[in-house]
Amino acid sequence: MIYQLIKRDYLSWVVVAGLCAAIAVGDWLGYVETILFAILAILLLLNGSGRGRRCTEFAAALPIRGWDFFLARLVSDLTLVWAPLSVILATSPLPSGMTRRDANIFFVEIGAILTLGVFCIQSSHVQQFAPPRWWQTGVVGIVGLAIIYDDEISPRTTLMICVLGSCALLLRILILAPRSMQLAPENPESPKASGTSRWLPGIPWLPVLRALFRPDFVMIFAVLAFTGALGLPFLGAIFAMWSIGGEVWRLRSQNRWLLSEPVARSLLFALIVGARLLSYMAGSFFQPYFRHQPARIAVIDFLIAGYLLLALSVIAELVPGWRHPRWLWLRLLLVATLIATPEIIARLFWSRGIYTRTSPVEKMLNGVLPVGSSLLVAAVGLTLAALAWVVYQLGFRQLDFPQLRSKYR
Amino acid sequence: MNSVLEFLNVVRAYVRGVPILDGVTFSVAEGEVVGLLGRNGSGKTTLIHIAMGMLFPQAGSVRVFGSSPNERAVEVKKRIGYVAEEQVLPRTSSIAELIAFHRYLFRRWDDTLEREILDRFGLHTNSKILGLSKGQARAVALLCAVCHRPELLVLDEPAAGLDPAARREFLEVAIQFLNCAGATILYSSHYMNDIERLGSRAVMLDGGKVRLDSTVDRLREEYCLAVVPVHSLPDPDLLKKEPGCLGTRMYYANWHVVFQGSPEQVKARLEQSLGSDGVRCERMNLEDFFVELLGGKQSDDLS
Amino acid sequence: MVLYIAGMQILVHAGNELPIYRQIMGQITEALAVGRLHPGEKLPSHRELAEELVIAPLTVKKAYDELESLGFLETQRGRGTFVCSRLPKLKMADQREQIDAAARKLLSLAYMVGLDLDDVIGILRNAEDELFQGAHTAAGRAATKEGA
Repeated sequence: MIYQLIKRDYLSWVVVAGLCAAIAVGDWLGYVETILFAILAILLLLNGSGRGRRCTEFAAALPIRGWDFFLARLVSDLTLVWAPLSVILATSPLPSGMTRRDANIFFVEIGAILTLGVFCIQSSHVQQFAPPRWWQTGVVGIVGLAIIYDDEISPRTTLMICVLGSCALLLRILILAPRSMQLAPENPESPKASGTSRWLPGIPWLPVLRALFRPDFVMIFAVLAFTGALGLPFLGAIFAMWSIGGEVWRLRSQNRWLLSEPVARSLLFALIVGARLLSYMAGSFFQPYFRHQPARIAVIDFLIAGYLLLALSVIAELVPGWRHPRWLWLRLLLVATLIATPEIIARLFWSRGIYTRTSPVEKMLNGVLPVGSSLLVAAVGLTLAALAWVVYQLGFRQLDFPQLRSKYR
Repeated sequence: MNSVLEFLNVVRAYVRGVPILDGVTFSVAEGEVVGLLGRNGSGKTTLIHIAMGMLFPQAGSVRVFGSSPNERAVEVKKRIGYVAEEQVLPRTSSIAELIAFHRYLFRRWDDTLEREILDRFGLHTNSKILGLSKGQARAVALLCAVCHRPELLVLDEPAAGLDPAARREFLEVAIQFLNCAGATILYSSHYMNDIERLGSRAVMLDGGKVRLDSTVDRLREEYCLAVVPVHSLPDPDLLKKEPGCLGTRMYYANWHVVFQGSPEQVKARLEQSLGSDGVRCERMNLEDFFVELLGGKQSDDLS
Repeated sequence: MVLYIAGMQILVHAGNELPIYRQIMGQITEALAVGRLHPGEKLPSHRELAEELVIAPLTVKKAYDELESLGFLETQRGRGTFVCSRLPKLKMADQREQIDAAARKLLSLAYMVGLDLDDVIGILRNAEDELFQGAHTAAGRAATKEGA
């Protein structure tokens, strides 16, 4: 039964397989950042909107036991955690200053923390179709913090806490799982503050902002600022592309009302892309503290990342027949590959086997460009704006009915 | 007579103090077809979810085939087929996958009915649910619900959003299903013509309770609408006190009153007791019945 | 050999003035009155008619049961429902309400287009000719079939 339930979710298996493949490639190329990327990806996927859901109304009407749903969801989530981690354990290059054994223990610790997180998410609101979003995001956030501050506690303690905690929560789930999954809590909620709205300035654009920036955006901001602060323009660009793609898809599917309103597309485009570029920029101003680089370099980094991002959007938009949402993943894969290619070539040629924190492309740029030239920054900024306009004209204007468009092209 | 489905004083609220269902009691016997009528938000879907075990009643009890759908969920659900308007089939599955999954879950499976439904709606087993139109997706849901020959079919606004031809085809499948012995149907719908065709017993929900519970034919034949000009009778209480009055509302310059009885009898009775002669009585069809009894703002409800 | 009814097409409309079972009863009795349906003919089973008309089988059964109680139809176990060989006359009191309503409707329609009572009577005579002419043709066809 569990196998039957799991196998119908094959999209998530494709994602896991893709993640493992990407990690294997990154490890083979000798990037240590792959570990960070993998953990980030696992956290983001665990936080995904469909991820915590144990069953749908369709499945709940079928003669399936409640805890079969739970077991299927747990198996799926634990595979998401442990499959990439196994790949990392097998193939990752060593982070600086760690022995093989220490690194392996570290990875197992991370796995244990993530496992505890999975059980925490699933052990809340056990009787219902899905745990509440705030709980899911909260647990993922805390797990992320725990991974960052994992050094504070000894591995043995961490492992013990995680294993005992997971077993206890698993028992809780098995005891409390209902025979029939419920759509709503058993007891009525109190007439809550849904009637009283929080005070916000009375901007007429509030519905537009609410539609484009949901509470999830905090996580996107945090991730982009993080990559900006650590000086990872390519990782940041990939993530920003993925998030923009997701936002555009959501605009087409859930926020169609916005597309039929007299709101300029250019405004929507500016809000979506600009918010992400600004997040990266906000983080990159902290580069002096993390990477001991002057802020000017950080800004150039940011502009180059944005430049790459938009250049590749143009290429992706120009490929005909690829605007169907079904092909979104393929396009992002192509973009990511294109972004990574110069890096891959550089690594293979110049610094194979030697791990350096500054990428060769950046070293080259630092050598060629006069540091601190505000004219240069302005020139790059203008080109960026021009590219943005081109992408907007080509791809963003007609967001609705992409199939119709390709038919009449 | 065995009762397949029994609601006894079911109470359910989502927010404390605002009960959606406030003491609903009725039962469905084997072989009956019961249609739930009511305004949007009157609790039809909630009642159906309670029958399917997807919600606990906060008070009262529900029995399906004599057992509670929450306690003995799997046994009960093996004998029920469910189709809902909002029920989203897994989008990336193909029809063949869904059918295989249902075959695995249910013991009996009627191959001829499956082939017939696939032919009638022009479905290919390799198509993904994602690429189907609304009517076709609903037909697939109906196929999955009906082909395992359930004893009870529960339909929650199954025809909503479908074009008239698709609705008719849906009805045809339902009637074929009815022709098997012992089939019981509970459904909710806003399409009064469909309710008349299914010849059901109509249960009208209003204010969390069962307002009316009778067969559709009796609703058509034993009730009528009296239209009384306001100027001839400013006080509606006299109307309310008349025997057989079900509901009164003001509509433009007239009182619209639903009475039990034939139009001639009611007209004669009203003219005699109220002394007015501008009274007009007529039979109503089901849609007008619904609007007269349940329509208007809540404040207009004077009955 | 069983003759299937070719001459009787039943059509029902939901939302009509009359409930569906009454529409069926009305159309069967009308067919009997004008001769499109003959005594002794077999009617479709209620399941078949229900599938054809897309209505509940119980509704058809109700119509058949009502006609049976009035004496128009008889059910023979295992063989189906047949028209009685001897048809009863309907009591006028039962039908009076419907006849009165139909008469009122006809007259108000006629007056709206400016016809008077004599014109309406002429129209009624024409209608009678049409109805029974159809019946005579059908009867003639049935007679030639039996004779052949």
